[in-house]
Amino acid sequence: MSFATKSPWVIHYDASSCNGCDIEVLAALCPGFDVERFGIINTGNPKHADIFLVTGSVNEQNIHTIKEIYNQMLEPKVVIACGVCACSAGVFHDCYNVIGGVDQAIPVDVYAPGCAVRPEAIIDAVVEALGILDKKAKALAAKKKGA
Amino acid sequence: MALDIDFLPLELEELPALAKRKKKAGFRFVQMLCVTTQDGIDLQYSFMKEASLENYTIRGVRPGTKVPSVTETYISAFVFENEAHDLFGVEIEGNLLDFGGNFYKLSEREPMTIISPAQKAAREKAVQEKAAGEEAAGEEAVGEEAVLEKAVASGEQQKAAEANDAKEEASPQEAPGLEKADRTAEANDAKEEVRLQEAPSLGLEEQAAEANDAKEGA
Amino acid sequence: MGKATVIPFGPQHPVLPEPLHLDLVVEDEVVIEAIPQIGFVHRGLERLVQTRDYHQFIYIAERICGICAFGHSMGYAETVEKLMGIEIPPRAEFLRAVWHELSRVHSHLLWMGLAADAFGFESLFMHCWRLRERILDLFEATTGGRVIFSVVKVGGVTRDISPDMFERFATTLSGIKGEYNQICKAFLTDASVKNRTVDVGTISQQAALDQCMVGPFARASNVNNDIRALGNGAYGALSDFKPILDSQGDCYARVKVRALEVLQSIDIINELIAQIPAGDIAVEVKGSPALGAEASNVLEQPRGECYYYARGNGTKNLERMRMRTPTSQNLAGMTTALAGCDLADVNMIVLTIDPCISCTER
Repeated sequence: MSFATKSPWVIHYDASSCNGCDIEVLAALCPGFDVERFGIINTGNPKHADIFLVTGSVNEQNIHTIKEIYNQMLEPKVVIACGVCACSAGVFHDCYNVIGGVDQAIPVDVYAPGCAVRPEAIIDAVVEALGILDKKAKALAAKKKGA
Repeated sequence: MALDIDFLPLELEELPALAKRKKKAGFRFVQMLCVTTQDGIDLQYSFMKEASLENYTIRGVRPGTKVPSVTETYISAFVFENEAHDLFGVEIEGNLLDFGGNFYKLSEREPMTIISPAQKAAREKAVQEKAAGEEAAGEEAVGEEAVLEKAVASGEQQKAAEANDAKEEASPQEAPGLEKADRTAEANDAKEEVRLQEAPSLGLEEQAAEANDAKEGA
Repeated sequence: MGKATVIPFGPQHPVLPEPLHLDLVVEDEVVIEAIPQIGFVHRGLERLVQTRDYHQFIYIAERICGICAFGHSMGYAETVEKLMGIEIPPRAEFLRAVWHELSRVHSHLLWMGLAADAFGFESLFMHCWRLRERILDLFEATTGGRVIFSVVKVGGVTRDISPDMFERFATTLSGIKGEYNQICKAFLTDASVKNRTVDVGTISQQAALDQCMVGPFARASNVNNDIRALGNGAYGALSDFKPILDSQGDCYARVKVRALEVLQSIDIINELIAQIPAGDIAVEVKGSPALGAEASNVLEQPRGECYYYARGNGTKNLERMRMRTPTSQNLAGMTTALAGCDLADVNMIVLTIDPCISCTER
């Protein structure tokens, strides 16, 4: 039984999102959809988090912040790009200050499109991410044994 | 009492005195905006009191002109003045909270002064049409509008832009020295058209994804 | 006399839904000065008027901010209608006003939840958002979306609301009232909440006028600047509209103003529904804005007054579309409120201006 398939803690960061996806991320944590009953808690500390939920596209100023938060998280970690702006810059793809989706800054594991992304899609993405987290944890353990 | 909106002209030198007058009269500062035009940058300052909204426009500020700041009278203008400097390249003197060009970190300098070649062509065309005279230009414009509208309606925006470009090339107004500019303009137009093409298909994918999500959620 | 330290706050912080960076100059846990740094959300969408024509730009205007989405689409459409001299049918005006007031209810409930989270009362945050889900259900039933609606177009609205749906509005809203009053009691009478909000971040009326603050942030300092009182559009059909004011000017007053505005909005919605005229919901819009035409418009959004400006140039693309959102006007007020406060009160004060940084930076 893997230790990583239960209660991941999430950290949420708004890159250049319009807030629509952020409020849906928070709505997923609130009583309407209630992922907190599975032990998923929103934390502010990257070192406590397993899953990084990013909303919004990447621009010149926040690319460094996203990379910094990602680097501060401990292995194994999973990144979920919530909303179409995080997946591929969405309707703002030809804006002058938009570099692209979040995959221009950090490696993304799960893409959850939508404008704004629905809480059901976020829950789906988190479940998908748990499977990936599991695989990463096993790979990490194997590497440690091998070394 | 309905909203009373006025657009009034203003000279650059009168700006600080106007701000002080408005403050004394009890007006509050609403906003300041910039518009990029052929003759320079238009600055517009808005003041409001109860039901009266007054917009003062300073037309055609050339690059290098120093614009006096109104932050002494209205401190909340610092946001707009920093923005005007970073996005339009307007030089403002005396801003009490001056970020010195670091308000926004941008990849292009003065991005709002850049107008795409397709847009430039379309705007020049519109100006020419108006200048050519009301009646004659009116009929021509309606005809072309109808052609453009049909093109847009049937989803062939690309073809309409190409038709415009073809017309521009055919017109004898191009000077020979501008040929190089035309080629780069064409290349840029091609890029713009590709982008325009991309936009609708993204929308379809999104809608399909949302429809799927809605089905799953329901 | 302590030594001054600079503590960076944001852009990533659990209490901030949006990225905002503040450099807090602190001496012994008292903030001397706060220097804001924005720009994390700047996408540069005002230049998109060049690649999207004035019909398509409404989808961009809505996505400036997810919380004030309806307000921006309504403000944009009204401005372009003014620019081109279009009159929309009265039913469309009433529908827009109903959705806008519902948007205000959802936005204030959202804000109250975040404010509760800011001073640590997490279960109150959960209750506010639980009530808010019912409003979002109404939005989904009438527009198809929970956050971004896309029901406004230049010339009117794209969907109608049936009388059955209006019945559902009335039942849901009256059903919410009972539970909402309990939440209000927690915000306004609970001793620990009062401890965190009374006399925190006080701004006097004179300071509010000097800084040209807008919205409930200013109304809590007794500055009357509610645009709805001017009676534009369907708001002119209201029998009696009085903006809610409070003279204390501290965080408690701002919470109180927003809490009471929710009840006022529910009453406005009921009044508008009772008076809504029958008829078309949109007019056909053809052609382009004239060369040199300009128009400006103001709208009272949940966060305050929002100013729109449009200029046409004879083509299908607007020459300039400018949206000045309430938070950009309130940034100066926020920096004043932060000076002299305790370090622990920084999140509460930042949240009480109801910051919508994505609106400010577009």
